[in-house]
Formats: sequence, structure tokens, C-alpha cells
Amino acid sequence: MPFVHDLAQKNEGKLKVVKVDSSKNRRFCIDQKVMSLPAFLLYDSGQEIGRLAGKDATESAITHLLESKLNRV
Amino acid sequence: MEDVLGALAVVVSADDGKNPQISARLDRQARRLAGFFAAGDNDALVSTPLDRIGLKIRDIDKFATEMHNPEITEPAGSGNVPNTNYRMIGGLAVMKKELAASELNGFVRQYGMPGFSPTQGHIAAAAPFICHAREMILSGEIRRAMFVAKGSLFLAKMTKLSTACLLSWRKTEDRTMVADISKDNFQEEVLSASLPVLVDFWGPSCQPCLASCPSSTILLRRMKGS
Repeated sequence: MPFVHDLAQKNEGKLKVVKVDSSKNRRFCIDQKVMSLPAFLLYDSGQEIGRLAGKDATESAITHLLESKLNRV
Repeated sequence: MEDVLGALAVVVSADDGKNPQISARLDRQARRLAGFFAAGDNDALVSTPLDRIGLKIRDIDKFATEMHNPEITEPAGSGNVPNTNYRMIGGLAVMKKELAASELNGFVRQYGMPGFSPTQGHIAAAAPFICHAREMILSGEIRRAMFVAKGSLFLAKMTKLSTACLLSWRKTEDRTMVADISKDNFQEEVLSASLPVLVDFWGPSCQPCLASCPSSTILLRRMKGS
């Protein structure tokens, strides 16, 4: 289920969605302290404002995170 | 009616996230090749540059070659020049076995605009189609339009300038997603972005990632298919 794509479309104009292939960027993942996959990190103005990883990174948890963070802006 | 002067300006800007995109890669290839071939060579301007950026002739939905407004220019001695140009492009597709010879007339109708300009004009210009192409791409009617600017016989004697330009629709994912973030573009794409950014760390061996991430699932399907 491509929910990441849906999230990107649903929040078009409010949110940018990017992807990191961890197998090609191991060092970078360590730098970002990404220890389990999938991992979703939310940034705003250069700051990390939210993170969900591994079992916590469910569609509903990510949707909830985005709603709470994006609608405040 | 003769001696009509017209002007057309197209604003080419940095990516605004909405408008169709110009393929800089095709432009570079066409310019590079145009120097080696006779001016106006469709092979150098159409099929070879497309080939080099991994597209086939029929990946283009509309070709714009030499065009004039039939209300302004009367047909002259050289016959239906646009139609001939489209047949030449179709002929290249036949040579490359992308098209059956019997489909040539259909190709002219489907991929060209022979009715748009049934006349011989003095200055070859594909430009009149640019605004229409933009609208057609934005409305989803077509995905790619290619403009071929080659010197006419007359013009080619004065200038060697000829090039081709490809206007392309935006894939939905391009608009909302960037696929390859690494250490190198993280600052630019994420930290300096004007919008909040959700960064999806995924891996090819992580099943939940593949389920959540459309382009990697498509990739996987393709790999299985081949």
C-alpha cells in the first residue's frame, strides 16, 4: 500500500516528501541515528520536529504526526 | 495576406513545481549533434537525441516542426512542408522498427499537426505550438511535446543554427517527492526547504518499506518481470 505517496499528495503544497535509500547511504543513516527501518523523520526549518521508526512507523502514526505538526504551522 | 509580423515570448524560469519541464539533456544532445550533421537533419535533431536520453520517437505525443498560421501565409510551391516533415520523422520510426510502414499516415495525424499549417513559409518555426503544448500537458491531454527548430533551405544558407527542445509533463512523484536523498543533497533538499519535509528512510531488504513506498515497489515488479 503506497501510503507515503498518498500522504505526499494529500499534503501537497504543505509538505515535501523525500526518500533515502539506506542501503546506499549507510554512513548518512548512522549520522541521522536511523537504527531501524522504515524510519520517517520530519523536518521543519532545518530542525527535526518528529520521528517514527521501525514498528512505530505505521500509516496511522505518521498521519497523526503530520496532522499534529503541520496544522500548527 | 503577406507581410505580417508576429512576436512570441516564452518565459523559461526556474522550476515552479507546476509548469511542464524542458529537458536540458535533450537540448544539449541536439545542440551537440546539430554541429555534425547538415542543418535540418531530422536524424540529428529528433531520433538520435531522443535515443541518447532513452526515449523512443513514439514516446513523444506531439511533434512540432515547421508551422505557420494558414490564415496568414498562403500555400506556396514546395507543397505541404509540415506534412513532409512529419512523414520524415515517421520514416525514422519505421527505420528504427518502432513503427510499421503501413502506419505512416496514421503517425502523421497522431503525432503531428499537419492541419495546423499546410503551407510553406520562409522561416521555420515550431514555436507557435509552445503555448498550446503547455496547456495540453497541464490538462493531461499529452505528456511530451517536441519542438524541432531546423533551418529552412533558405535559412540554412545563412545560419547553421538548429536545435530541438522537449517539453515534458511532470510526473506526480516529481511534484511531491524527491527519490534520492543522500548526504550531498540533504542540506539543500531537506534542511533548506521552504516546506516541512518528511524524510522516508527505506531499504531494498525492508519489506514494510517496500509496501509503503511506490517507486520501489514498481522497481521490484519490473525486476521480477524481466
